[in-house]
Amino acid sequence: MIIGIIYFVLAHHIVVIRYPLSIENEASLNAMKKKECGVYYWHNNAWVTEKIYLLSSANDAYNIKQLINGMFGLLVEEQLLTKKVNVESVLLSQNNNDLYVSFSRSPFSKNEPIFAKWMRIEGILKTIRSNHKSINNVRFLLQHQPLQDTHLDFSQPWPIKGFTENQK
Amino acid sequence: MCKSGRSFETPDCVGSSGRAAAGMIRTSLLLFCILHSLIMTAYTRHNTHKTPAQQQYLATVLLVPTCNAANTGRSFSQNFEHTIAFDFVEQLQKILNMHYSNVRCLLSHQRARPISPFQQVNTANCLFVDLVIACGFYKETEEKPSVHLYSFSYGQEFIKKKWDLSWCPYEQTYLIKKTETQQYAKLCQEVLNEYPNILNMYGPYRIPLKPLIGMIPPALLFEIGIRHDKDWQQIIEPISDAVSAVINTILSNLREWSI
Repeated sequence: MIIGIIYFVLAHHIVVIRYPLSIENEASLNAMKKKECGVYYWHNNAWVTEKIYLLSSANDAYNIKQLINGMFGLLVEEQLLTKKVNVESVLLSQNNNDLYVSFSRSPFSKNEPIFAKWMRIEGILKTIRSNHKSINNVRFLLQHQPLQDTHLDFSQPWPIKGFTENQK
Repeated sequence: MCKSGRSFETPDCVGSSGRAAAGMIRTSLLLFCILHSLIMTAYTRHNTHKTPAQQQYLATVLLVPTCNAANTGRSFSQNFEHTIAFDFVEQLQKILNMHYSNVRCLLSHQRARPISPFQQVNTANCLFVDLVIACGFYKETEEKPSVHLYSFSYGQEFIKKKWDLSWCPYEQTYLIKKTETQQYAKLCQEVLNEYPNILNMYGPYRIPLKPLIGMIPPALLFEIGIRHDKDWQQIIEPISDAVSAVINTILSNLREWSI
């Protein structure tokens, strides 16, 4: 009966036992540092670089999410994006080579030409690879479903280097 | 008792009635042969009345507007991209049909019909077309129209596997005619660069494009930026010249192979 009572309180989280290791993990997550990151976007037929300051942690996925959200905030300030786009979630594969980025809404406007859409994605890829070297491929999602666009195909992951070097 | 020529009552009677039956059979066979030869002669004359060029198409070109009735595309001041793209490709089809009697120019779908996913791809692959030209339009702020030329690619082509007889992933079918596609894109670029007063030419670019994914024949996409709805009439001539240059290359290649 005593064992049953102990099991009941543990299963219903009435009593919570925390191990010493979990305290260390939380401490590492809480240890955030202010970091300067470079953001790239295409404007007036040229690449523009800006520096933004982000709070980075030991969690790479969290850092990438903050980075892309910072980039979209900058694009809204520059009036290159009419509506604010947020990154809902970012996941890294086990080997940290593949990145999954899920947007809250489409990062493209309805009347944009193909070139503008392509350069926006290239800007995201360039920003990620300049701040995180280990990623090889990026898959873009919309609300955790494959991103659908009329002109660009996102059924396969895009290489982190993009397609600007593919034009030679 | 058999009567001459008419009675068939007794099967054992082989007299004049039997000879009459045989005669009727011979007559009917003769009439059939005469009719058959007349019909075949008339059919052959009907076919030989056509000119040799109309009997056989040497090449097929598929023109693909990037919009359809369900997805009308980007908006303009008084129209949608769907209307302008269809006006453009129909005019392009007329020009190409006028210049080439031995080249068949097809439209991928009808103006007022929605299309199912991959319908254009299936049309291009099943009809074994020699060239696919897709056209799209967007609203441009500059006065001079812009023409961006695209072809399909997912990159890293030098390490992609080549197939002899196996299933090919749909995002890699472009590798089958990759060389021809790049050749035709370069040719279009050279022709369009001869019209700097009429348009601004950009490209060719190779990126993953949804309208061209899965196509086996060489496929090019022209994305044209115009300021006013009727400005597409200014660039119909350069685009038709570029497509004509590609068709001439295809025809000359076909003639070389036939020799």
